[in-house]
Amino acid sequence: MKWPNKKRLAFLLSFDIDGETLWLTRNKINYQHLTNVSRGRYATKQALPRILRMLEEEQLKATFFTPAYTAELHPEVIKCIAACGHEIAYHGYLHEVCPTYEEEDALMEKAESIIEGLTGKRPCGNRMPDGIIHDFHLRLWLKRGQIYSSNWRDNDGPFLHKLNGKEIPIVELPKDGIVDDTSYDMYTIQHPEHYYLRSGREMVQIWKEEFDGLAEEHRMMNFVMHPQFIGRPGYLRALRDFIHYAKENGAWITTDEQAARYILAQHGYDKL
Amino acid sequence: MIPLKNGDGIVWPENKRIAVMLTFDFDAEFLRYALIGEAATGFSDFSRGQYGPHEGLARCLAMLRRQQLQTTFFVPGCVAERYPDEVRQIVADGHELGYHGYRHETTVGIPYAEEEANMAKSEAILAKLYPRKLVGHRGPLDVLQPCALELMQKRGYLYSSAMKDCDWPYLHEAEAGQEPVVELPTEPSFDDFSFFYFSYADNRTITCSYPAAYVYDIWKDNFDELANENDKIMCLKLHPQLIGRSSRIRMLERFLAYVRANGAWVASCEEVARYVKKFYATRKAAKEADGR
Repeated sequence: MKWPNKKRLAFLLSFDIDGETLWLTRNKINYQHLTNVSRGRYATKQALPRILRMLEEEQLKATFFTPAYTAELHPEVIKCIAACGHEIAYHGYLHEVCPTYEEEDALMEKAESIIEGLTGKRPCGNRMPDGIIHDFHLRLWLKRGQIYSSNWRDNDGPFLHKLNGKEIPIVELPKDGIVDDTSYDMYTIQHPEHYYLRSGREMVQIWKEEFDGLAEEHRMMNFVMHPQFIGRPGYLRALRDFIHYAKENGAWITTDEQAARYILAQHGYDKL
Repeated sequence: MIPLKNGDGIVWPENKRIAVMLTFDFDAEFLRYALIGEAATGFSDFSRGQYGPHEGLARCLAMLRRQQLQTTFFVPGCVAERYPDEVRQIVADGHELGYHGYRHETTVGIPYAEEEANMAKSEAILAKLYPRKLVGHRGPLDVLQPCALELMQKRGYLYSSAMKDCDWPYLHEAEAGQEPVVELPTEPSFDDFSFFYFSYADNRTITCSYPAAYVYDIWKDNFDELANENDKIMCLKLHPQLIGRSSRIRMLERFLAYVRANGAWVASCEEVARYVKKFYATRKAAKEADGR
């Protein structure tokens, strides 16, 4: 890829605001587990105010994949994110997985409408909850006018999807565990357990090494960051440090939507 | 400007930058009973739990004496029944005791009457060893029963320390005519359990292999950031059976010296909760007076 202004790689700061849904969907007991749900609440009550201030100071825009349930529960937070010029993208209603085209279509309509009602803008890209994709998804997204997906994990991207062998104007902005903060900062002894806590310093050390190689290849990095974990002060300190490193080393720091539009234009789809 | 508030504007005494609490959950063998089940807890894990009362506690208390810090110990009623001399020593050193279940119960959804009986029983046991009324509550394994806040209000508790929704202390909503309960939130990365708990019998093969210095750095980075925000707390959750190892206590002592040298008000949960409650009440009264 040739990135704008001779930048070395595209650097997409994206967050998944699962909030309470992360706990409610992983174990039903959490409907009664006040302190676990309070960990999800940390996302909108503490982490996002902190993250939005950091992004403002760094003069950066980011993408927030937002379950519509989070948006309904905390409309003032979602409105604030949008008002700051950040992108709100699709991430389910309750962070759920739909088995059929019809159900997913209805769910996307419901969730997109809720988000549009709060921000005035429909999401144009998606990251599916739990990263689960079915055969029908590309067809559905094409019909719904989605311009990008961030779900594939099979390469460093970006690429354009194909449907029945023919290229379609949907950009893939891949991601995987290495750039997902929960690989380092999520801890729970509740089933399904998740307990390898690493420091923020170690997390960004891994990210910097990955950055260096991908920048040489002029590729991209798309992060999966959960405010309830990475918005904790120690991790956010590490992320801020990493952003400074990225700025000093030729990163084009932008949103998923902006990157997708740029890539589409490069492929002659700029009329979209 | 971001309109969402990032804190609640509390001003700490003597212009300190942050309130830090070193709290100890003195669970002994009941920690592992809660996690593995009493029947499945073999001698190794029973003995590991006893590292608290038999070795770790003394090291914690000696460090706190050296550093002249009086802090908070959350003690299940059952532990006080089995280890009264150890609990007496905690009290003799001037530390606060707080409620932490009777048998360190961690089942979610304990009915109101049963939980009230747990509280009454533990309060009576601790009253024989502790001359003051219990004012603090920490749910075992941070499980807060849906009825817990109602019971805390009814039984006159000042604060809870189990929620994880923010880094500032706040008041729970009070029912009409009741005093609000203060919340002193905590967090898994401030809990020594997340780094040092270990058992072969637990199918969660939780690692205990973190170097003490690694944990120090995690706590220091969090402290530095929180202190810069000026209206936050940092409530460490420690277990004498885990943090009480020689290497770890030395790390904790180093951390305590660091935070004190960098603007922390280090106090017991009771002291912080009383300050918080008064600060918010005074501010509210001043606002109401302004409004008239």
